[in-house]
Amino acid sequence: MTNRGIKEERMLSEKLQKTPAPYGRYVLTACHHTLTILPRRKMTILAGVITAMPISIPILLVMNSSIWDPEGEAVFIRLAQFVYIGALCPLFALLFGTSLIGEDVENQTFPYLFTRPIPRSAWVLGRFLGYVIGTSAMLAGSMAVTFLACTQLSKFPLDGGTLALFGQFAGATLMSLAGYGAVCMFLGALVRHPVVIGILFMFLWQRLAVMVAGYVDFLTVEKYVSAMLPRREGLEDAWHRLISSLGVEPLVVDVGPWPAAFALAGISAGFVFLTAYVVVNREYSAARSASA
Amino acid sequence: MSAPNIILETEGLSKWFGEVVAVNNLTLSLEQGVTGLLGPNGAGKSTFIRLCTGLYAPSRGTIALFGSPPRHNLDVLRMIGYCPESDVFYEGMTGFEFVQWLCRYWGMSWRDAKRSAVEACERVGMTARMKDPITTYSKGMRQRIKIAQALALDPEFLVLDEPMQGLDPEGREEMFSLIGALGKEGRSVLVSSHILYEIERVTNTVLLLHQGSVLAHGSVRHIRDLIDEHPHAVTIESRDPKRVAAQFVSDAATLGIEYSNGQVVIRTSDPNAFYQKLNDLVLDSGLDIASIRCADDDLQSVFEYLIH
Repeated sequence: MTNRGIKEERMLSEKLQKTPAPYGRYVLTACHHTLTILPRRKMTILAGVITAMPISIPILLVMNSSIWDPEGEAVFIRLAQFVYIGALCPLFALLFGTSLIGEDVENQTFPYLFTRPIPRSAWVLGRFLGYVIGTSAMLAGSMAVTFLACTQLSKFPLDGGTLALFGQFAGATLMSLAGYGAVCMFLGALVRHPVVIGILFMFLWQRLAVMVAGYVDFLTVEKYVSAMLPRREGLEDAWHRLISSLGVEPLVVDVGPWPAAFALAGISAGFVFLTAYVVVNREYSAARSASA
Repeated sequence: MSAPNIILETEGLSKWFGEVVAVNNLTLSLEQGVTGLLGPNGAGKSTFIRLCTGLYAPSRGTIALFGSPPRHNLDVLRMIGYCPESDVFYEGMTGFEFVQWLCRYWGMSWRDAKRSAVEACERVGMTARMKDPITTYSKGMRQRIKIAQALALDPEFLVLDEPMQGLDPEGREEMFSLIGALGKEGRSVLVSSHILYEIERVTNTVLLLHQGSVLAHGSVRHIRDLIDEHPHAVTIESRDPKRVAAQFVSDAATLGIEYSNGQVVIRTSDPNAFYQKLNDLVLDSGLDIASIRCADDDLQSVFEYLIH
């Protein structure tokens, strides 16, 4: 390289150093990076296989419709509520949400990032957006195929009404992924074993909370996800029916779908903010507990 | 106000984790150029580096890089290139992708990131293999890619934490040349190592840490001067090391004698008198001596003296 070339390179470099990139570019970079590394992870292959499994149920039913022909709408609603929203959203949050920040800490790649002139909050936000986009794409794709297969069953034609139903469940899935994901991302940034804490939160605390009459279930994500569903059938209703059968009218505070959606958006934003606060203020080190 | 060529200043800098004090009351300033950061494992080198790069906040005291605290200071971080000690990368990436992504995180556009990544890989001799997955690289290649990601930013201050670790002899020579060239370009480089020979190859300015405190700071010559205040060790190989030792055991200047495998190590506070007496003994009494080795020939001995 000529002296002039070296000088020009140096000038360009100095110009770059003096020109901070806009906040949005850092967010998009972190988001894009998350979407790039997500498909390369072995866990994603496992998640892909699990996501594809519900599709087989309506397909098998269509193939055997001469023997047993259930209503397409009932099959889709049950699959959407219990499999996609009830099981896969929490599972994806546990698999991917906890590792959004936690993986960089566990694998010790965070020094590469935190010594870059990137606002840590932008990195957290970008990571979260990447997770929501990536996991939503996987689940929405699978749910769409399941929906189309269900329309081949009886009493579930592919029209505006059924598409609206699909849209409602897809929206609830997105909000569920965001809500659970934000909680899990926060756990990943804060504690050493986020998956264990996440499992306790999702499958113990949420189960217990919905069984208690009153306002306790407001401290769950499931409360708001359930409220967003156009139809519900679950433990909560079964429990309430049991209580009612004993002649006691339990205190059940219902939430409408829109307030529930806003609540989930608030939960997501709140936990993203808390995660950013932890990541900005915490000193991660080789021995994670050393900085606790 | 800092002098123009001072890049790093600390005042009473301390960092502790619970009851463990990792860095203890450091007050120093580093000038432009290559500085070697030396110390045994656990001396506080990595903690000091993490304080310099803003990964840690001081528990007490202050640190200023280019006149400002580095933690969360994007203007300062924009001037830093950091090569961590840990051998970790993002899963499933090629060396080029890894460097390019980290350039993107620096705030570069795709085009600039690509150009910088290509140049950095070229500079560390990884052009031929940069499109291969990192999992196929040798330890030395991975080390080069780590340095490439730091160089790609064209930093004013390059921090290399144990950069020679895992490199083969050829790779080490290339690394010595690279660090030397960066120093000649007017960049500031902080290189840490626990092997003094490595540091001696790349710089004449060293900062010795021990148990979180500065043991010595300055040129190698300055540190050698400090030796005069410390006992010298002389290793003598002989068929009869006990007879050799017996000649010195009663000397007031003799501070200690150790035997091992046909040799005796004598520590003395008066090396001139020691060597004079040794010569006289060999000439007069025919003391059987195969070799004499002064342990002060390299920085390793300086370091050992200072920590003892």
